Amino acid sequence: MSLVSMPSADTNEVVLRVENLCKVFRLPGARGQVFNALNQLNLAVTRGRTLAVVGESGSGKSTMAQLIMKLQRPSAGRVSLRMDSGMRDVADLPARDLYRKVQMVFQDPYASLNPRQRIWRIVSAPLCNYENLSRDERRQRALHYLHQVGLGETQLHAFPYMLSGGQRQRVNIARALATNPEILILDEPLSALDVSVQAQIINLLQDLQRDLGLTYIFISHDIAVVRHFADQVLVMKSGDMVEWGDVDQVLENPSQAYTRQLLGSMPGRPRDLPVRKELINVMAGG
Amino acid sequence: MILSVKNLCIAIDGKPAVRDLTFSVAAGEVLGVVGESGCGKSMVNMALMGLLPDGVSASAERMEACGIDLLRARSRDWRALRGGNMAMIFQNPMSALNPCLTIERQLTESVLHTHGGMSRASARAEALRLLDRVGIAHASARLKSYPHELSGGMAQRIMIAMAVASAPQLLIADEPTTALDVTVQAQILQLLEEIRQDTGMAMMMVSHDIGVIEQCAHRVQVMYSGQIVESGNVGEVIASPRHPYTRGLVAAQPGRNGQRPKSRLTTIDGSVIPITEEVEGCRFRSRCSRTDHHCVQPPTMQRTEANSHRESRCHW
Repeated sequence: MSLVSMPSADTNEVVLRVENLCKVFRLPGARGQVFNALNQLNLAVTRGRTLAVVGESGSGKSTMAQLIMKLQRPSAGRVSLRMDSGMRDVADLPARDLYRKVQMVFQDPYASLNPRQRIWRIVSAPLCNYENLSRDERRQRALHYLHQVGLGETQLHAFPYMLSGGQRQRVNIARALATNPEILILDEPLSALDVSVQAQIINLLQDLQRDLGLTYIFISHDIAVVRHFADQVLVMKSGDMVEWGDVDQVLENPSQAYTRQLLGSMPGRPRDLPVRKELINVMAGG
Repeated sequence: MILSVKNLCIAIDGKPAVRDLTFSVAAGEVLGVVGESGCGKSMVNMALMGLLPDGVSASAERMEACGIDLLRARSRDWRALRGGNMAMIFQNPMSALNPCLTIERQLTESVLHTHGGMSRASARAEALRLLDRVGIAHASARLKSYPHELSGGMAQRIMIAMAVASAPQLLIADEPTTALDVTVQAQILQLLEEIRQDTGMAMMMVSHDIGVIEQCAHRVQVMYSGQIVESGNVGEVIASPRHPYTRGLVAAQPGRNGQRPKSRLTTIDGSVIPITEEVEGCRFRSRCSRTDHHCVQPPTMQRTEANSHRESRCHW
């Protein structure tokens, strides 16, 4: 796996770069035993594009997201982010500068909203780290971001329990948009939603990307969604990078056996397809 | 017929929730049930197993499983049925296993339930055979494990082992792979299919994932807000859905209907009406794109083609 060559000025501008990123967790109890959550991850994310990260549980997808967001400290390697002054190591950036640029949307829309706060408070909360705002100003700003995600006045004073799963995920996205970030890390934002609602959120994310020029890092286990939605895909397994490239190339013409297994596991293919059966048996054995 | 249900209605605190469900499952057949959250799928399963919570009541013209009239079953009959001719596996295998007991304890309990007078040693041997059957390696070591030591896929295999201990005629699988990774999901679906082919048991496979149903079911019934809105052969229903809701559901999946990447996905406007809400006419009317004056009349299931078993609850 080679790093992308230095990009040309604007069209393929790299906004986030990950170099030799590692995370090792010490296991509780047994002395000296460690778990390698992430091994030597290298990647570059281009402005305005969507990078999908696929892999099974324990493959290191969420660890990667946490390292980018500085929610964990890397054991080795670094993450750098394009700031006005050029590429800067995230480790040296104050949290307030980092979160202006990068925001996150979490998987479970039921668990990631404070049940005791009204929606306007939740959505405008990130702003309070940057500006002194009155209650009225906060409500106004919250309403602005709610409009962007297709919600409105009706939801402004609601509590999270009053909203449906899809509406809650919209609130999560509105909150992430509140600092006008350039990069959104979407950690399985669809998996808790019903199929018809999933489609609404995918459409919304595509619209926002087009209108606001957002860059997405989209963590998912659903290959069909990735194929529809992403430009590039990174396949991970047990903390290792398996394959990284353009979606068409990786999903239509995978070079790694593991990627082929993952593709073969997608449900909905005809019964008893020989290739499929063989792949499943390989996986069961391994 | 292993399972035959006619006009099953379920009410929550006296309010109708599930309305006039009529369906049946033949021996060796897999019936897929598709629907979004809150459409009543799980309540139907619970009714079939006699596990409805307090305040929820079921009534039907007919409800028979494995030759037993479920409407007249007393608690002794239910006990013999559950873990006997009927078994169920659940969405989250981790919360379905008792965290404080070893796998041996939990698995031999199912075995002993089936074979009353069995000795402990033969129950253990039977448990080993079952673990082997569901593809768990190092079975004797696994018997000593507690649930927290298992992966999700392994826990679901153990749930399946417990369910098939009694060689049931009908297995109800309620979203059995929703909590699992795709690769593990593929293995579990494959395992269920193998067991079905070996034993000839019938299955009712409940899922919100059309792909899963397409892969493992013979027939499908689509539920919306407490009703069956469409039923028929799985391939036909997914290839050319008749009911507007099924159509929306199929079209909302990325990668279907040859949508181009990054194109806008078809969505179903609005949201599901609460299952207990009374609606005049068609329950899907408020979200349907093609309504007319017929839709204020409650639609009935109608055959869509002359010589097939496809039905749709829509007058179009």
